Amino acid sequence: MKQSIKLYVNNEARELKVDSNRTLLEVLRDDLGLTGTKYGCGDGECGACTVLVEGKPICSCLALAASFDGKKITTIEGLATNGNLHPVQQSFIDNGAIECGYCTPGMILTAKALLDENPNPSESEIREYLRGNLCRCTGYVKIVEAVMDAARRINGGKKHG
Amino acid sequence: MDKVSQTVGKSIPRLGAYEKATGSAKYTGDLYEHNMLYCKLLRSPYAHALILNIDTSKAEKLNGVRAILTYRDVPKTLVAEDGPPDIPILADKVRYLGDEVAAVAADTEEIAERALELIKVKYKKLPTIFDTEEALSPDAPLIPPPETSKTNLLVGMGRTMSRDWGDVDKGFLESDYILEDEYVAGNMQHMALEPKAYVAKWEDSQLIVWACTQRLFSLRTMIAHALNLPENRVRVITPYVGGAFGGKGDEPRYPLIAALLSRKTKRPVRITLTREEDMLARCRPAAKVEVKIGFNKDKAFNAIQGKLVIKGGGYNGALTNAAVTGCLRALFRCSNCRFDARSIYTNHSPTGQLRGVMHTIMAFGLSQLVDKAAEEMGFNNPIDFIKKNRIQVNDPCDTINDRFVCTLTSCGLDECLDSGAKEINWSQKWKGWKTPVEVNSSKRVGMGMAAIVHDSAFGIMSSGTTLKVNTDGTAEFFTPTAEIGTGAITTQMQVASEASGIPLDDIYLINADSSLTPVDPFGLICSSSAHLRALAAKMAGEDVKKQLLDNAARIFEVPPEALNIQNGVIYVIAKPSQSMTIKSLMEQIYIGRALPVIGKGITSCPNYPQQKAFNYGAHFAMVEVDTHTGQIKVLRYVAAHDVGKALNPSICEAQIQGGVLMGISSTLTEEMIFDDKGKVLNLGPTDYKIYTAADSPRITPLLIESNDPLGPYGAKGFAEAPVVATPGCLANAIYNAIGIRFKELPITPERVLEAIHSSKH
Repeated sequence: MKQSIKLYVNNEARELKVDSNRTLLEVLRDDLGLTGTKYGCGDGECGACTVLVEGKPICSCLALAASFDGKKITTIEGLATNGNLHPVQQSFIDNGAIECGYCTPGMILTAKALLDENPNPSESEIREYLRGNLCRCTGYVKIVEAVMDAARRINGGKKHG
Repeated sequence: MDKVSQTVGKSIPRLGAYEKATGSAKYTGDLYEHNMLYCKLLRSPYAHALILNIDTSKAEKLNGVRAILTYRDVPKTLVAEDGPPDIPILADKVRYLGDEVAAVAADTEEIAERALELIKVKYKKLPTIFDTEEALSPDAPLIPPPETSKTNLLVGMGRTMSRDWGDVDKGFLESDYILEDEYVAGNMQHMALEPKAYVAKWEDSQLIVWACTQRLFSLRTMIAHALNLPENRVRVITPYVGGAFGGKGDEPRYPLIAALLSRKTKRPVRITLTREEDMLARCRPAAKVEVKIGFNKDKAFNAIQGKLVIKGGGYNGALTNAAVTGCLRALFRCSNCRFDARSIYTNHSPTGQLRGVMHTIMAFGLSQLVDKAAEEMGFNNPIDFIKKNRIQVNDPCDTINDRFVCTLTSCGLDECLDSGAKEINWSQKWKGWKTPVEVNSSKRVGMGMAAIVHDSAFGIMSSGTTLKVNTDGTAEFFTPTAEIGTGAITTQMQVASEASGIPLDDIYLINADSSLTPVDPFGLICSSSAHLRALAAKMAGEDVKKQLLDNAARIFEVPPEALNIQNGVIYVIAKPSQSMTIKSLMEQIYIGRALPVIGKGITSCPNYPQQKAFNYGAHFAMVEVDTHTGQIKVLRYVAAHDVGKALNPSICEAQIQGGVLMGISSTLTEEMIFDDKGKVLNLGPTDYKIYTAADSPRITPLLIESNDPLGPYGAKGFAEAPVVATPGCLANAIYNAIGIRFKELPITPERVLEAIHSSKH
């Protein structure tokens, strides 16, 4: 059965007719062409399919698209504003935190959500927050460094309490 | 050594990082061709069976199903990446639980999945074999096709093999002290984040295959062979690859199925494996190794022997030869060596390469025996023992058949040992074997180390690149190298820029397309890119530079030797103010004053078989073992690697950090579990755990530059060694903490508790 829904994807209203059994991941990739969101396991274990719903990270492979009617969804394609990369994106590039890149979109979105919640996370807070996003290339070292660097960039070099 | 001034040695961000950070980088599964069909595969519920009949009639009638393939519809050719061909496109016999039986192409994946349920297969179950000795008994049922092998022992390139150098038996007879032990390892997963994906379509008379592969030319050869096409009618293109680790070779079957479905339907066809299917497709085989070392009274090596037995699975792809020279020959000085490997078919999941492949288990054993030898022969610590016995530059280090023919070009092992020991503060913390660094009630902190060697490309490998200069002074760099996450394309571009004098920003990359780049027969295996392909890039760059200078010499009316290029500017060495840009030179093509420029670099493994490069490393770990729970926590990890020359230091560090974590995770948790029917019980990251950011220690990489005389600007490949070294290093640290040696991988809490328990009785 198809359902009519409206999603606000990357600040753009998208009116869609979707089968009620289709996941948000499938709709983003197959219907909207937003292939930056990746299929990694289909079980909500690897985090490659992470998107932000109202700013909070979720695994889009486990979520039915029809349940997000009216919701604001951010994918990796929508993170840069007016062509300017988000500080997390830039710091991932500059810190060598990207290797094969398949976990990168989910990792960056999760890191952004962390920094929105907690602008000055400690190393262990970063590691804990990223535990739902698997990476097989980096050993997470440069990813953690990139998130710390992004926090500094966002805070303009100032240490917040 | 060549001077570097432009881009080599700089940590420039890797190519493609922007695209990956913004989501625009396309992987094979991100390709949506017009009118594309989706393929799903029917898999066998039995580990060993004959297919008596397949009825696809109901499935064919399902709306949206466009084509179905079974063994009756495919060419009968057998193919394989290396060694004896043993893979049919589809067959009337299944060799593991999950083997492909039929393929459906349909308008959507959902329709294709529904169609699979409508296919009726009648099987005749055959006896299954999961034990290697049973597999070799004369009355064992034969697993491979009889054309491949008449027994379950797979003999051929890199499989079952035996090598003797010197006189091993005499070496042991004359030894004053002999150590030997047996080590085993379970099946390990690559767990690249991207599951395998392939798209095939026919355009005019050419087949185009987009494939997530690390070996695109051997894939092209297999496809051309199986479909009886000339190689120039098969174009394999590799988009970004989401991690490979050895697991993205060995897969002719999926692209061949996609190609045949596409030929039948005249529409593009995509196969994207699910995570479960991807984990079934290939793994590192379970294996057993017996390691034996004999020492003379001077505490030097007299003889080394390694005997390896591999449970090869139904499709037996793992190469054994990485374990040969790396472990037995090129680490310690020893004149008598023997390597013996048996690769045996079983009805387990298919096996293949995995970042160092069989070297990892060999090194797990050797590192522990070396540690034990140092302890029992009265050394103060293992480092002194390794230093005393390690190989030296110009020693024989590799073999062709039974002869030592290569001499070693460079070795930074001492520097790795020294810098790693300093970083972890070895001299202050090490209190001797079985003496923990610290004990806090049930928690015992131990430290250990291991030395490692690994190939920097195999001797028989070769590759090539080209660099073409345009009339505006920009250039295109063509390399067969796919971007699988290693950063190899970035370092090659840096080298091409450095050697040619063309600024990096002016060079555009065209890579991993079998129709456009030189042939690269073996692909991205055996830590080869930084040594072999970067050398090809350097040669192409130098060729371009020579041609540019020839062009400029005519204009400046000086001999080419009087000129140089740097950062895009050609100048007279004696009078640098007399100069012109590459752009202004190349524009003169249009007035007949300059010639087009294209440089090529084609190379074998440099100077092989006279000489050979190996990479070296020294790992140091501090672990905490909780004797109540069996939990092992890695507190600190330092990995020093002799990379020859760090062409891009950030990329080198990342290779070490990622390799070490893969090593830690596989040493302490990872293992595929099979039931007695051959079914894998932990398919998926829910049950097959890999380390997360929260589980992982901070890993400190140290880059040692031994400046290899044959490598480009001194570089060597090294990216497998970090994984290979880790299990032995951790096992030695665990021994230091609790006085127990572990001989089985992974070292799980259950095994730790069991061992502690039995040591008390």
